[in-house]
Amino acid sequence: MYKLDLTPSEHCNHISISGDLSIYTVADIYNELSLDFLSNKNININLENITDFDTAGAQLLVLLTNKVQQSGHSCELNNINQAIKDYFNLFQLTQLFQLTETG
Amino acid sequence: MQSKAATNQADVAQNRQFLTFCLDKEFFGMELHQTREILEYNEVTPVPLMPQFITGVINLRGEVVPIIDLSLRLGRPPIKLHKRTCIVVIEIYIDDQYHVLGLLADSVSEVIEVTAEDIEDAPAFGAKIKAEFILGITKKNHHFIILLDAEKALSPRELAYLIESEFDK
Amino acid sequence: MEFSGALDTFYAESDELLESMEEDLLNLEDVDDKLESLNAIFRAAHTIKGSSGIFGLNHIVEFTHVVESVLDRARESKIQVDSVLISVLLKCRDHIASLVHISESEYRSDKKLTQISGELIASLTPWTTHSSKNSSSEPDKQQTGISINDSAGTTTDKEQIQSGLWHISIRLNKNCLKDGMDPVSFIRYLGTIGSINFIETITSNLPEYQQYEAENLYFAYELSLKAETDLQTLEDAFMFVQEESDITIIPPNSNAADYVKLIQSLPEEDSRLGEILVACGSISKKTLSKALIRQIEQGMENKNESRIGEVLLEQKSVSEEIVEAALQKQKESEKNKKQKEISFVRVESDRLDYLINLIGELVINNQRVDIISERINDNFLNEAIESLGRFTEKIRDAALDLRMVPIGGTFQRFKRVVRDTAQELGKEINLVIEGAETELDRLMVEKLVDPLTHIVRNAIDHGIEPIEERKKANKENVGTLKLSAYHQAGHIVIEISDDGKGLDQNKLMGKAIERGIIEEGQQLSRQEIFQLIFHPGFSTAENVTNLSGRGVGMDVVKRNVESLQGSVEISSELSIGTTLRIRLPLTLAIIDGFHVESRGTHFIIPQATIIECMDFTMHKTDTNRQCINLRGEMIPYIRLSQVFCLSESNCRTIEQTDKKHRDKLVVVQFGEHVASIVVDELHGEIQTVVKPMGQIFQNLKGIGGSTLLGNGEIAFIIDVPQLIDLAVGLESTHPDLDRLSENE
Repeated sequence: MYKLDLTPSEHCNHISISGDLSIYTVADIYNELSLDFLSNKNININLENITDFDTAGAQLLVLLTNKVQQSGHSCELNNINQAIKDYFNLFQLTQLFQLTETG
Repeated sequence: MQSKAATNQADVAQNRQFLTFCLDKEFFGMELHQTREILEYNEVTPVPLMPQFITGVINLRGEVVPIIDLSLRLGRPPIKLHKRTCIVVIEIYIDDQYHVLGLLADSVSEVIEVTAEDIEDAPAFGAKIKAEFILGITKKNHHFIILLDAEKALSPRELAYLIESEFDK
Repeated sequence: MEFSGALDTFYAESDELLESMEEDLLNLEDVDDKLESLNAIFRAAHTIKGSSGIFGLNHIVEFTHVVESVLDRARESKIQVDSVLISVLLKCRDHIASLVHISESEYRSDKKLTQISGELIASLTPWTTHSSKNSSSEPDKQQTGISINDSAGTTTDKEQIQSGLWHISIRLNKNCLKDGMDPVSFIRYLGTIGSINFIETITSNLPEYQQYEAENLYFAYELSLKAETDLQTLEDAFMFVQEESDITIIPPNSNAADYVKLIQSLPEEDSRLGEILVACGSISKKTLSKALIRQIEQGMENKNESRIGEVLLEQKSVSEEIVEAALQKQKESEKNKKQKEISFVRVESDRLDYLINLIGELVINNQRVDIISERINDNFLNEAIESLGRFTEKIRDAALDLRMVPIGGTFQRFKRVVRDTAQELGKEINLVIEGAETELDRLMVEKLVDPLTHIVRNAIDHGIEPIEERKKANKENVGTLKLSAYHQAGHIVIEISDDGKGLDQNKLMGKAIERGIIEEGQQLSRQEIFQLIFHPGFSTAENVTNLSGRGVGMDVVKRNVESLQGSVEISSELSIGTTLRIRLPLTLAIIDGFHVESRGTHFIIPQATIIECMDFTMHKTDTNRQCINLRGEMIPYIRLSQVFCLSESNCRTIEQTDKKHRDKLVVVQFGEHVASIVVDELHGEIQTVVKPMGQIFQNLKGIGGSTLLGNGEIAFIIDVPQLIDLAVGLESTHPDLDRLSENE
């Protein structure tokens, strides 16, 4: 189970994913995202409430980051939790992302 | 097999269909779902040392199927072969297994549908057939039809036992 | 999610390992050199633990870990392997077997199982407690978490042979995520074998956004691992993915060529990979670039691209020995892989049976074509059909061969039965197995297990005497039970013999009379008396034990064997022992037969029983004795038409009735007996597909099944031993035929 919220704002499009970001949900999440939304502004992805995360989820994050950066914008991952941090550390992926913390 | 059991259940409440056939001018019925096909009588290979009611075996599209003289099995005189003699192929499910058998009949007449009320208990006399082989009796077009309980009358275990006792003679 | 594919392999693999583990455990008691067995047992436990870890089956990991550490101590001779330990380990093995097939949550909620785990672990403590954690020889116990060392520090340690870095290159199958395998589990598992020095996740394989398929795996990994382990252990970690994935494992301090080869074999850009390898610390930059440059130069000099090993040899950077050793290692691992493949080809038995049925139909159709071609009689057609027939025969043999398995596996199971039964009864028994390699149809094997188990238990319970009794009889304390198998005249013979007290004929007779099985004063032959034990409701045990002696079983044994077209013979000598001899056809599906005819009915005599065929009238017969004189030997004969009560009326065509019968003779052998069968016509050899005749005919005597001839007619397959029995029975008023049964 997952919940995907897409909130456009003036300078930055916000994506918030909660619940599963794993092999069980990545296909649906990928299908729900539109290219338009991803490529015309900076993107902020909030991952605060992710409960399940795996390699399929990590791949999707890399894909999104690459896509946003290709269109000349920045892509930030916001509030990643410990599970995702551990995953990034294990696979030494941290340097691929721009990680931010917000309250 | 489950579906079969299910239809069986349903039949109890609703109508039951029987294939009727003729053995020496008397009519018999076999539940339709137990019958598979009707064949013209064609060369039956006799099996050595069998009791008389086992006529032999036939090759039914690669399957070896035993043929039974139902008349004899029911304790009546053996069937007289003629050019309209046919074989009713039936399939009964007993002991977790399907058993395919062929029955000799003088002719096959029709499929009848009877309700539970139409079926009467077998009379204690007159039929000259073991009561346990009979499901009941029904009447159609002014003649009686004896509805057979194939699982009892043709129980493979029972038949095998009869064959075994043939060897013990 | 299809997690099941890999998991099924895990189940099958674990079952296989557990089976060999049991075998090895049982062997431990007999062999002098225990180390080999111990190593095998340890490896089996280790592999099960490792694979369970990959699937997150922690309950198996936890339990097996304890067992494994005991095994490890045993193979290092820190503890003594005695029969007590073996017993406990056997129980542990059984417990693992029951753990393997349930999920962790099922396990946690099963009070009985958790209790058994506790009890078994407790019973292992005598072997675990002393000087417990000081052994450094448990490679997998070093670290259970994942630790990532600072990569900077270790790169220069390369020269240290003891703590070199393994380089592992992982390109998993793209469906791996869908199959429920996340690379995380491999990395975690590797983390239990050693410590991960560096991982580079290669993300460059991600496609364009539109081409992205979210459930595919695009990531690839290069990692270096610090571990004291061997190649096999690391390869085993990838056991379940190897087939469709690309895993390269380079041992520590391998020569540069291996790394160069890896770089060139991978799809990613060479220079990037080179950087990664250097970053991993697996190889120094200098060595790598030197090898790469040499490689490029070599490629320019020689378009045929000599092998990298040779390149390095020229360079004198590695000694010839090392290359040799590396090649050897490679060969070995290839061999291992091949062996694995052999044991990995698993086919559902239904599919195999289906194939064999189809081939059966093919054989029949081939015969039909044969008959037609004979009628047409065209040379080219005949030739073509002849070669078609040859191939059909080959296909048939090959297909049947697929179902043949050595009986050894079944015999092995009895080690356990013997051990347990003997222990229960306080007897000492040595099981001897002979002819384990003898092959027979898998279907038969399955159906043989139950009857054999019963016979074996019966032999231990009733055959072999208690120790005191053996002492009195001047026998060795340890009884011997022998299982042997061999082929004889197209049959497989399985013998179960014991050196026990033997069957007492008087006792058997007495019991049979008491039970009303035979009449007082009835005369029985020796064999007939022995065969009484197969009578339903017959039991000679004076004390009814819970093992046997309830009078059920031996009759079932006989029925089971007969349902496989087999027979059981008994020979027994008082106070010397008893031998049960089960004779079975090799296969039930298709047999080579000889087609004969009697009074218009077609019969097949199994080719394997036939010695020769001849004209009956050519031989002198003794009219009084129903025997022929075959080269000076008197051989009894029976007329098929007589035994089967076939009359002329059975002939279906006038032509056949009119034809004057010229009696033909088929001489057959079964066991030690020789007899001959008189028929009307010999039609020749034929491959027959056995068609079961159904339950109705299960008690048919003298006929073992039916088959279809090329023209669609039905023929009956003769069961020779039964036929003779029948003849003896029918003619028992004729004393002349009696000698058949007494041809012992």
